[in-house]
Amino acid sequence: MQPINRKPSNQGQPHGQKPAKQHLSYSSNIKPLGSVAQGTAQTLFGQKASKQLPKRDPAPSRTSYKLQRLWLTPMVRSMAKAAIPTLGLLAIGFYLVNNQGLRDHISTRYAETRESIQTRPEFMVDLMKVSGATDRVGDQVRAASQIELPASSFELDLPIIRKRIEALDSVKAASLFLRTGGVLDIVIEQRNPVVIWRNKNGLELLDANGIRAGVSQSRLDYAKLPLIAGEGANADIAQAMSIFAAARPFENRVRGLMRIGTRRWDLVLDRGQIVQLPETEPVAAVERLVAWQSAQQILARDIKTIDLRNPSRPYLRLTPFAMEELRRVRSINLGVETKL
Amino acid sequence: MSSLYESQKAMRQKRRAALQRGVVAILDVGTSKVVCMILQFDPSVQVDAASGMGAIANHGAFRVAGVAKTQSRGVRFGEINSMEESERAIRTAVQGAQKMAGIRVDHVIACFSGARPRSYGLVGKVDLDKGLVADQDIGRVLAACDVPDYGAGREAIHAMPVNFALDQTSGLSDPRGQIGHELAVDMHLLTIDSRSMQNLLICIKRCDLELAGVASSSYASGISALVEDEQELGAACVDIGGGSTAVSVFLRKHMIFADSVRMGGNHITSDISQGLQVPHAMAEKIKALHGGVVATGLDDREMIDTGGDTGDWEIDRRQVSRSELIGVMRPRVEEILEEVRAKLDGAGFNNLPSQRIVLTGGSSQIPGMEGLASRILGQNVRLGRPLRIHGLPQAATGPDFSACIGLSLYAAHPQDECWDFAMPAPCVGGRSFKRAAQWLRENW
Repeated sequence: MQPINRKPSNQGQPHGQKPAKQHLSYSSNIKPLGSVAQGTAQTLFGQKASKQLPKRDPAPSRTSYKLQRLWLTPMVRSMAKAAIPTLGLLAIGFYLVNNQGLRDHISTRYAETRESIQTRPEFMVDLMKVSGATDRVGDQVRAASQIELPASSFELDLPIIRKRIEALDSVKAASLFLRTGGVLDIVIEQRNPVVIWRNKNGLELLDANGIRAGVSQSRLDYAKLPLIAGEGANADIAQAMSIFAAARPFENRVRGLMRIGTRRWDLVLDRGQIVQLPETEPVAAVERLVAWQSAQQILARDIKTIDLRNPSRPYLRLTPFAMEELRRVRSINLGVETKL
Repeated sequence: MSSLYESQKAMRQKRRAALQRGVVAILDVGTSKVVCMILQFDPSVQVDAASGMGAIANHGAFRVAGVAKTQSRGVRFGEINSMEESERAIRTAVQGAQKMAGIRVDHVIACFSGARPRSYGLVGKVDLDKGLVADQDIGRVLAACDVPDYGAGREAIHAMPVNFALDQTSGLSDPRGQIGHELAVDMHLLTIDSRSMQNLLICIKRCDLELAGVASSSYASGISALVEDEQELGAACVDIGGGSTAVSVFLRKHMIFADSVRMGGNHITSDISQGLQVPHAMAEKIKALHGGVVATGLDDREMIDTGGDTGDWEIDRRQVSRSELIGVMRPRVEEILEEVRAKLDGAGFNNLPSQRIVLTGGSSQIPGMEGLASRILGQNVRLGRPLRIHGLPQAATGPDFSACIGLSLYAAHPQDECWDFAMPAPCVGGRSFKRAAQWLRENW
């Protein structure tokens, strides 16, 4: 007798051979029993679940039916959609117009709320950071921005502050950023002075394009910058700079450049010497002067003016003493007695 | 007949008001489903009957704006059985249709499928004074019809002049202006049980709606399912519905007979439910999916799972063959058709020039119906689908909607009924005077 609930084994059957017909039918008899039991449970459960749900009544309640009909009435609909909101707004407006106290109350409450939001620590700016500028320019920028910190970021009008900062001579461009942590970051692109220009108003600093980069009280503050002078001297800074560069071999003698008649340069040296440069190609003239100097030490001589305006023929103007001496030497050479 | 005359006249006025507003609802309270259909009328397209445009030409005048269908409850044999339940069903349908249309509807035209209709052929005869048929002569001859005593609890819903005869000439559709001495009219009067009409009226009133007209569903489905030739030459429309089967006979574009058999698709379902011992819902399902009336050899092998609701899955895994199902359905269908045959025979349908029979209604969709019907009713049977009307959704174009669609055609273009004509003055005036006197007596 075989136990019912044990699967029949294929022991004793040769491999590859089909099990006996009896075995097949037996095993197929067992399996459905289990599956039937399972299936029954599931189906019953499913049926129970579906049966327990009460059938929903699709009919609308009388109230909802009436309400829907009311809503579909064109009059009611237009009232609810247009007339009642309009009337409500009108009533509110009328009440406000006629009630000064309420209006004041609303406006003060509005201002208070606005203030309390604006002065929250998240929106406060406590620190100003100026980068890309020298200390002196940085101080100028701080002063020019006219901000009193701490301030709310709502009150900071960055475009106006930027305009104020960029109005400074020494600032070429400025970018302002509100960083997290309440930092106002001002990034400055500075305007670098290359020459100092003495004019009617005093000493002005100019950058390479001839644009004013500041004002100086004293020449000594910018002792390293070359000096230019004269009306219209700011018109051609590039030429002036190349003249200074060409005059580098005797730079310790150069005092500055003087614009003459707003068209040409005079190179002013110490001891009151003046080199008059031509209107065209002044740099070439300076280079010739350098050659001349190295050949004959022309500048070391007692000459008041070297006129290089005519490239084919330089003129020299001697000091009166030198002129006197020259005449004396010439007369000696001619055998003329000199009066002592 | 006079009180009826007035109530019907009031309904006509309401219908006119509804058409002026441009919105009217069609309500078909059937045994198996309640359908509400909202029609929107375009007054500019409205064509009057005087211009010779028939019902079909009048189609463009309206558009179906909303349709809703719901399972009917509380209705048996096409009559309201439980007021509360059927009111809920009507509310569901009306609300759904209103929602779809986005229009509020106040006026309703309803139809009856049951209510034991009974039709009478009346004859009226009057002498013409002037030798010329005038407008009031029509009213006079209609009033002269000798109305049979149709019982206290009954009410007329249709009273249509079918045929006018002037002296020896019969078959006139509009005798006005013609010369003769004696005007005779054949009128078709259809009465129904007034109790069921009252019930429906109360139901509709409880839904905040006003009744703007009633029609018999046999008439309505005849309008939509018969084509014009069939209406002209003579045909019967058999609308096999859920709880009752409506029969109507048309000749020369007029309904000349209407009746109903108090049996329908629901009886087939309950037969299946009893015969195969399955729940009603399952019976309805297998009827709709596998039903038929003609068994073939293949049907013995086609097994249908009936399942069961006993909760015991193991023992209730029954199957029936399709031929068993057919064996249950066929006798009932035969019975229905035989009843229809009896009604048609009683009405003298055999004497009509053409004996076309059109089957429509939900149960006419049973496969093999046509063949079975032609064996019982006669050779000339076809299945009829309703006409297409403007704006009708695809889901509402089946033969089970033929009564609704016929009713909307009727709403757009009603046939002249006796109450559309002016009653002769002495009758109306005397009546109203009497009523005024009665009112005074009652109130003082």
